[in-house]
Parts: sequence; structure tokens; C-alpha cells
Amino acid sequence: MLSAIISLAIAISLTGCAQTRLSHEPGLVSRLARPQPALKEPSAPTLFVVLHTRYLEFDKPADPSVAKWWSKHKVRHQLEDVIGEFPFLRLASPEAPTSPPRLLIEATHALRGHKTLNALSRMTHGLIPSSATGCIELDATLSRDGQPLKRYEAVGRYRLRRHLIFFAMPFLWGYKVPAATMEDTFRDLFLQVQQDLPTLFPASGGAT
Amino acid sequence: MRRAGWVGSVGGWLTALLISGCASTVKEIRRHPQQERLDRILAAVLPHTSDPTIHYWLRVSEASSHPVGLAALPQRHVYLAEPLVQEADEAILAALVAHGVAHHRLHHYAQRNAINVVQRGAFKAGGFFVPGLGHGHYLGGPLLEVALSAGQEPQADAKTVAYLRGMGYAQDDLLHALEWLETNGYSELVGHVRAQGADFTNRIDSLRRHPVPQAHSGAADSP
Repeated sequence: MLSAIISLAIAISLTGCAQTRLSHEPGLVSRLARPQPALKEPSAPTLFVVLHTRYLEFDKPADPSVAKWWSKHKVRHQLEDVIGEFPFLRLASPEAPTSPPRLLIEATHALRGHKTLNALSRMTHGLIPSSATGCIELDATLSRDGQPLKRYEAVGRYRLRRHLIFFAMPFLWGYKVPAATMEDTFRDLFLQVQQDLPTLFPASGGAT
Repeated sequence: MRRAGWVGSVGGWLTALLISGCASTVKEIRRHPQQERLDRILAAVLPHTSDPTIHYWLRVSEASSHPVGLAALPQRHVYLAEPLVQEADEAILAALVAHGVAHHRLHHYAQRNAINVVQRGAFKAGGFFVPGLGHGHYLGGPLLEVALSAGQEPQADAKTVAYLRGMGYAQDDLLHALEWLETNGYSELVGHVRAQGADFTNRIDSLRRHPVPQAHSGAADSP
């Protein structure tokens, strides 16, 4: 009886861990071969990045939950990591003045798949296997003096599979995959912006 | 005893789903052609709120068999149905966007959630002493939401009128928007609670009989 209770407690505490995250897209920029940003600080304008995040579960905005909090925290954290690779970007708050060049990013972290099957799988702690897709969708607007100059988008995806067998294989959990996907998607977006900077801000030094 | 618990749980779930209108689904359309127009309307509403820097996710939703015209959902989402966005005029859209923002500014969803958490805890605690009572929140939660919603709609209507006046519109524009929703068979979804048909008629009558006073301040964002 006691062993059953202990195993149940372990199973419950591990809910959500018995899943593996598989390969992700875009995967354009690997950690080992990161390109150096072409524009260095003095020649590039400073773009103030404002980030808004949301977490959708099966096409609906998620209710307050740990998953929602974790997702929002993680997206912001990964942005802070990536932004350091692009010297022309500075993180700003939404209250910052809109006159300098600003990159407003709407970041959506969405979990997509079969809702009922995923709910059953969660309730049975992976006894019924299920899979879902995590999508990172970034919609960005580059603006100056409140006027939009250009819109950008980048999408990243990772696969998530839940199965009882993964309880026994923690090395397969791949818990860093969502974060890596977020980072790569941000890089994809910022590389697009970086490419356009000389055209949009020809006298780039004076944009700040 | 265990069987009674299961029966209670399943019965509670079914009642909850019935009350909350589980058929009301909203599916977002990514990058709708009218998105920029909606963004402009939202940008006109925001300066009349107490904090214009707050971000709202105003999106177009797919048409469905149970058409939800306007939905105010968690994380400051406001959804407008696609046919509505294409057919309604600027004043109706402004009134609906302002109404969605008003619900969020008045923290209606957060209030319901907070009370739901408390009542859920109370039922769970009661379940220790009275077998089966722990499942009471399945029934109590939706009932409580419906009860709270009845008081929240007039508050949101008053706030909407204040925003509309700030934008140069009038109270009548909200009335037209509500009439438009009613005539075209649309409903309004706030959290899990759906308002439709007679709910709109009652609100229209109430606003006609008790117009929102001119002094009502939109920027204060208080009920």
C-alpha cells in the first residue's frame, strides 16, 4: 500500500516531465556556428525592443497557470540572451518614448495538437501517448516616430511527445528544446531586421 | 462512497459545461487583412484608458456555428468575429473594441478567477468533512461566474460609453452595436460566460432608461 502511494506521489510530481521534446525549426543558427552580427555598434542605429508575450493552449489563451507563467518568463529570458548578440538592439519597456526607432515584438508561444487526446494523456500520466507541437510565432513591427516602417515575422516549432516510457528515460526529456527554439526564432527575426537596417536607416549613425 | 464521488464529479462537470456554454469556441485567424484597421481602432481607444501603454491582443476570430461576436478572454485578448469585422461599420467596431477593453480594464476576468479560486478551496476544504462536497466547485464555479457576470456587464457598458465619448462617439453607438449583435444572432463571451439574445435586450433597455452621465470618467477605470 505504502509503495503504491509513494509511486503515485512520484508519478504526480513528475507529471509534465514524462515527455520528450524533439528536433525544432528553424534551427538556422546553431549554437556552435553563430554568425557574427555584421553591423557594429557605432555604425548601426539603436533599435529599442519592446516585447509582448502570450501563451496559447490549443488555440485558446491559457488561464493563469504555471505553464503560462513559465512560457512568458522563458520567452523574455531567451530574448534577453539573444539580444546580446545584436549590438544595435536594446530592450525597452512599453512606456519608453515612441520617437526613436522601435521594434515591437508580439511573441506567441502556442501549444497545438489534439486537445482531448492531450488531456487524456496528461490525466493518465502518459499511459495514453500523445503528441503536440509547440509554436513560437514572432510578429514584429519596426517603427519610428510611431509610424510603422516594416513588418517582420519568424516562426519556430518543436515537437512534444508524451509517453509513460519517458518516465524511465530522463535523458530524453529534452527540456532545453523549447528555449533553443525560442532563441533561434528570435535570431531569425533579428537577422532579417539587421539585413534591412542599411536600407531603412541609410545614415545609420544618426538614428539614435 | 467512492461511486457517489464519481457520479458527483461527472454530474458537476456536465452541469458546468452546460452553464458555461462549452460550445462557445473562438479560433484566431493569424494576420487577417483587416488587422491593421482593428489596430487603428484600438489605438484610438487606448488614449482614453488610464494606462495607454498596456498591450491588448485584438484579433479576428473564425466564423463558427455558435457565432461569438465579441470575446474578452484571458491575457487581455479581445476577439471579433470575421463576418462582423467585414460587415459592421467603424462606429460599431469602435464600440465593441472599447467594450472588450473595458472588461479588461475593470479586471472582470481576474475578479472571477480570484473568487473561483477561493470557492474552489472552500469546497475542497469542505470535502474533508462532508464526502462529495469537494466536487461542489464544478457546479459552484460556473454559477458564481454567471452571477458575477450579471453585475459586470453594466459596469463595462458604462465604461465603454465613457471611452466612446472620449473618442467623439455617443452612447447611441454602443446601443447600435448591441442591437447589431442581437439582430445578427451574435453572442458576447467574457471568460466562460456567454451573453446573447435577451441579455442584449435587457442591457439596451437599461442603458435607454438610465443613460450614462456625461461626467463618468473613462480614464479613472473604476466601475
